[in-house]
Amino acid sequence: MEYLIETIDAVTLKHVAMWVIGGILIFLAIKKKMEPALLLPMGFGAILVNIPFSNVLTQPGSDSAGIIEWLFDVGIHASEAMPILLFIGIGAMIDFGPLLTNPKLFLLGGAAQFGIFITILFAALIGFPLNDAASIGIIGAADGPTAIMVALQLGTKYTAAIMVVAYSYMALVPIIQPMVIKMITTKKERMIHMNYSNQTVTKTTRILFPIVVTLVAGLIAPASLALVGFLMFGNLIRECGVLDSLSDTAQNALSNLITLLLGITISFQMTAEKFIQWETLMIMLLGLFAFVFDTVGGVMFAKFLNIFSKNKINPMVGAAGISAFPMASRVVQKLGLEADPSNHLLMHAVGTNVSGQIASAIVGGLIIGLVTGI
Amino acid sequence: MNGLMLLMSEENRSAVLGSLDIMWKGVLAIFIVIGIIAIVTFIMNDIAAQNAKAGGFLNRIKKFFAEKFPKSKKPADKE
Repeated sequence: MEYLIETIDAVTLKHVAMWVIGGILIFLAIKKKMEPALLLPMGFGAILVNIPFSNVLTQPGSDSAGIIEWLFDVGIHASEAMPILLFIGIGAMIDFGPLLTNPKLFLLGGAAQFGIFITILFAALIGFPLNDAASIGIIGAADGPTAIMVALQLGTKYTAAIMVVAYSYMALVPIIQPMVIKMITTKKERMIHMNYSNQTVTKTTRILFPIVVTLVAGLIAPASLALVGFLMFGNLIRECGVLDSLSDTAQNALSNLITLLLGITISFQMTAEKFIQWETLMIMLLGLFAFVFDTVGGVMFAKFLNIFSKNKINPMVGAAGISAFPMASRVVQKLGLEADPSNHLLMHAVGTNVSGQIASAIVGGLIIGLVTGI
Repeated sequence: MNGLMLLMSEENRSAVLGSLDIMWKGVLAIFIVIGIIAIVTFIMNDIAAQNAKAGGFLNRIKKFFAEKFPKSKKPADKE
């Protein structure tokens, strides 16, 4: 009869804690609709990998690999294939039109990555080694694939915590950002109207744009090419006009398939020994810090640009430079309407939001290059 | 800051200095990349607008060469 209770005997409090954490993630995904495509598989995977002797992990003495461990080794550890391929789908979904009509918004997307760098410094001050600090800082990129890629390339042991925190805070953007924006802007500033240019972007510009971005980003930050290049590849498929079926596949089937597998694969890092540490709590706080300072960076840079600009930018638009698409742009639109019901900021916010996508991918590559070069 | 650095272990100090290094290099690099992309986008939009005004890229090229190398009139025509 011992064989029946062998596994139950091996269950520890840490395992039970991880089942509870898995349950919480599933609850947040279903009941609160927080990033369900990722939190649900991660939550379920957290339960799967924390049952002792689970054969989803490779067991000692076993001939075959555990499926989750295999998916992790092949899909993520070998070449970060899953997050990078997901970027093709994301690129195919993005319309860069609002950004192309107002190239100034690029600068706001860059400024909103400030939180990443300040968090790296803070994490290092607290005592994290540089590779861990940089991996924690990249939570501020508010972009799952970028965070996964940087965390794995830098070899941090906190990948699971970083993933859970990154995706959780992305879903909390509608709660975090309004508080921060209201603290650092006045009502008068939030009421600033921005003119929207109805200039159409030519098809040639839309086709050249992804090629130009790839070349520029690649020549200055080649470590970012995997992310930026595949993001732009997806966008080029969308904009070329001759690959509609591929664009459709990238936006739907490919993105859904990779998202389906990515969450449960990441749960390989959610074993009790790796996840239940004091550092996980620190990472949660630092992640929040990163998002707050991203928002501050974007808003303050918009105010700085207003010193030199005749056509004022509504500072809130800077906050949309955080890469959480489309939540950040919706937050700005909502706050704009709250301040003045005739103040529609959505198109400017969307333009800034998509520039944040590009900027965060470039910053991810820069950080990998800078940390591995030190 | 100097006092704080003295209280840190060697490893910690190295991490902090490394993070400061990443900060200034990273911020500079991202603004350079983003700035170049913004400028190139602005130029592409400008060229596209001028092409549209001229009725297309080929028409613009034709007009350019027509202005640079106007066809000279034959002497019989001048009389």
